[in-house]
Amino acid sequence: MALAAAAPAGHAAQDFLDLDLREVLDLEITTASRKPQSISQAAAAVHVITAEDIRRSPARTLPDLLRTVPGLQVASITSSTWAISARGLNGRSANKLLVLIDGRSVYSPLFSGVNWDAQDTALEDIERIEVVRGPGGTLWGANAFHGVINIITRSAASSQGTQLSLSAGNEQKFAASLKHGGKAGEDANYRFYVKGFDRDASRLTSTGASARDDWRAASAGARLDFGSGDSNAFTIQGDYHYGEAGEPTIVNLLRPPYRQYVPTQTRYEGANVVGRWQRQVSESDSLTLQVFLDYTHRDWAAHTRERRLTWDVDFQYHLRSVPRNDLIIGVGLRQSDDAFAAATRGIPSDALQFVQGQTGSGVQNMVSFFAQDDITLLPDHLTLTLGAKIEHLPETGTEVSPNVRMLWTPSASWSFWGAVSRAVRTPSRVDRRGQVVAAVELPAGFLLTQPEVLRGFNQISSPVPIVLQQGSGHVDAERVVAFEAGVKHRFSDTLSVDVAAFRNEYDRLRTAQLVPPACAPGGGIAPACLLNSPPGSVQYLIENSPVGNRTDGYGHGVEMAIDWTPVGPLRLQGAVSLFKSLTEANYAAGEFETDRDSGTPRAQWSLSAYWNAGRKTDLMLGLRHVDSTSPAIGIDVDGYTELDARLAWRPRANLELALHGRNLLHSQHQEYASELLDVALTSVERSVFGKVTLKF
Amino acid sequence: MNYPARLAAPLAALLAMFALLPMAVAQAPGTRERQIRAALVYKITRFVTWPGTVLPATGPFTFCHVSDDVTSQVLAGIEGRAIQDHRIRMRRLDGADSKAVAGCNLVYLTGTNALAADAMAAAVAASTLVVADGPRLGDNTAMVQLVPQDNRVTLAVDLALVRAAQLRIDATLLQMVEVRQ
Repeated sequence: MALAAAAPAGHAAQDFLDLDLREVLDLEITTASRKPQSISQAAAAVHVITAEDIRRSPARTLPDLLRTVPGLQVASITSSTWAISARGLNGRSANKLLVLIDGRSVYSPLFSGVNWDAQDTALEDIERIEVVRGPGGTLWGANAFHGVINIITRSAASSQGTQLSLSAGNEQKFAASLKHGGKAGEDANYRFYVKGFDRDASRLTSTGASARDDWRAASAGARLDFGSGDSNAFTIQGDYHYGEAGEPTIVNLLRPPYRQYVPTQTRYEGANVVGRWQRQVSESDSLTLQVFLDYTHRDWAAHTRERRLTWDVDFQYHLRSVPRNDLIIGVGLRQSDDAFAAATRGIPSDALQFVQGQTGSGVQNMVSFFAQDDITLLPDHLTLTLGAKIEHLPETGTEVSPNVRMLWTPSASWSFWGAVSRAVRTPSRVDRRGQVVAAVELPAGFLLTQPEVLRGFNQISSPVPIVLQQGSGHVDAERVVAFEAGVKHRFSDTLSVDVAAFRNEYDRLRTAQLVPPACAPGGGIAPACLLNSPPGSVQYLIENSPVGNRTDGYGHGVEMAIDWTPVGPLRLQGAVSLFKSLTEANYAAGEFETDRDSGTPRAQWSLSAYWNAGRKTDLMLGLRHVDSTSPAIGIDVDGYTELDARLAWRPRANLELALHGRNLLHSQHQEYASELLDVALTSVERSVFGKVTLKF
Repeated sequence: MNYPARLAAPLAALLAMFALLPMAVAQAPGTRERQIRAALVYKITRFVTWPGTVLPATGPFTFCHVSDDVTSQVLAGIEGRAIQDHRIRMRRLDGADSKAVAGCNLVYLTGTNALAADAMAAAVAASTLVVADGPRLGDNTAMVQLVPQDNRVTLAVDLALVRAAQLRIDATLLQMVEVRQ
């Protein structure tokens, strides 16, 4: 498998001949950025969202675009936070998916997940989004445990001209974006964008009141591409973003009312600069050198305040001069420096921080090496892929992620593939040096002040409150061995089907262990310490569950995608995902898994219809269904079916007027809950907005 | 954390990288574009139906082109493949007159090469698909025109000319291209 950004420059005419017509029409003339590859020739479960799909979609955020990808689980927690995972183990702190934007990893070493609110690149500038389910560990490395989302933006050459978009509606209150691209000399092109939006709050599921999680953000970015022809290409690009998002936070206190609903504001900003050099060394060989710097700052009320600076250097060499071999080797270095402080803005000064033990600064380094070879056993029919990535982190040592893949294409319309791969999830900053406060349990006799908002927490019979937290143990890399198989068949030029099945065997997933609580202050094990202490001297109990890697388990499922154009103007795209997982800690020893296998729906499906009613009008209708989940202790979320729609009219070639509707079937519905129990339950509302796009 | 000091190393690496810019010598621009154009010409044939009289079930598909050496080399990669179960026979033409195009199922004109009016009439009469990738030279000069747009190659189809040649183009293709009636 070597999809777009994974593979650097290097191609031959033959590569283009094996793509389908849509893919050829989508090829850029002047880029040397990647090895083109048809989805049907990838020995992996791959789904691609094209620029055209994005243009026709009513979705205005990356998570909403990902909702119809087979095998991906996307659920809204608040207006600006989502739980997103591939093939299970989902949650607000889902940590088993790698996300790349133009080759820049955007996963947060704090919790090994992604802050989706900060990934706010201009959707109009996205060339394609490749979603690879299954371990992508060999080429991309740690955290590509369940999959990789690879977002590739357009080159400056294909973003020429000026485009202004304005939209307004009930939930998307206002949004504006301006982008411009031009030539900066014979062999150089540039583009830049500015955008901003103001989004309305969702509703508290319990009371229907505003969840006060309205969200405002702005971003700007630019890209410059130098050089032309096939031999050298240089890119320098960068973005800056700033945002403020409300959150219906439930803070923990060691005094009455112990748990309190406090609407807070999270502020975040970030900037990055990426430099890339691609050189076509010969007709067959090419190299890519990429350097990026990424700065992020997040003041996440009641959780933590984090500043982080990451720099990363990657080198890849793509060698095709050896007959029957297509080899990519690469080496990468990354350093991430962080600094933490308590995030106290807007909350009671004595509220407990959800993320504990993160103060001061630290450095994480990583060195990686990979090699992957596509070996042609039978030209045009049988390809064997062998690869391995070796990563070294000083804290966790060396991890090896190998994979073996086989692709059999008996004819141009059939492909069968199978793969066995191993991947790891390296421990996050919190895993290694920190604790997470799960909740404060109320003392006996004390009643919740807002039980409808604070649901999901049990009261126990202790004379003093109990702080439940996880941490202070030793977490090593989590491991998976994935067995995958798939078949892709093109019945005709208008109908293709892609089916993939997988089984993930987990080993050493993160666990925590129930321990007897200790008295604070003073120490000692409860209840003895309580009984032996003078009345009133013990203020609370603390139950600090040590973490470890003691869960095994499995996940398996089937995913199917259909793309059918029954008549010229009508295109139908369908996806079905069936999934089951079971992770089992040693409950007898008081251990429990920290990933919830019940947080992933057993079934979900989507059906989208695109109708080109003439050259001037487009209509899109998208129906999607998600089964019920249990995303947090004591919280069950019903399944739901929703409808999205978009109607666009182009009275002139440079003007488009569009009406977008999202979640049209219900006035509001709940999708998920944070497993940290740190936010009140919210519901997504029906959204309708109009959009005007003008090109000049 | 001392950011200025931390920034020094990666900034130096970025600067060093772009110091290499003078090496960015453009070589043979357009090879990739030629490959994409050739692939497009090959791909659209899947959506075209030729009358059985000019493309018998067992005969080869005669793919003619008027092109320079580089494009010829690119097109050589198509030879040996099949179009609708017909083996491709590649023929490079020296000129584009009516005599030269006789017997071609497809004529691909690159650059400013064009068919004279009588050659186009002959092509229409013989149900020969005429594809051109240069600047559009006027009406009735190509049935399918490759048009550069936004750093990609798109297609424009002259439907009247295609119909006159008794060729049928699948509606699926017409949805993906510009149609000139």
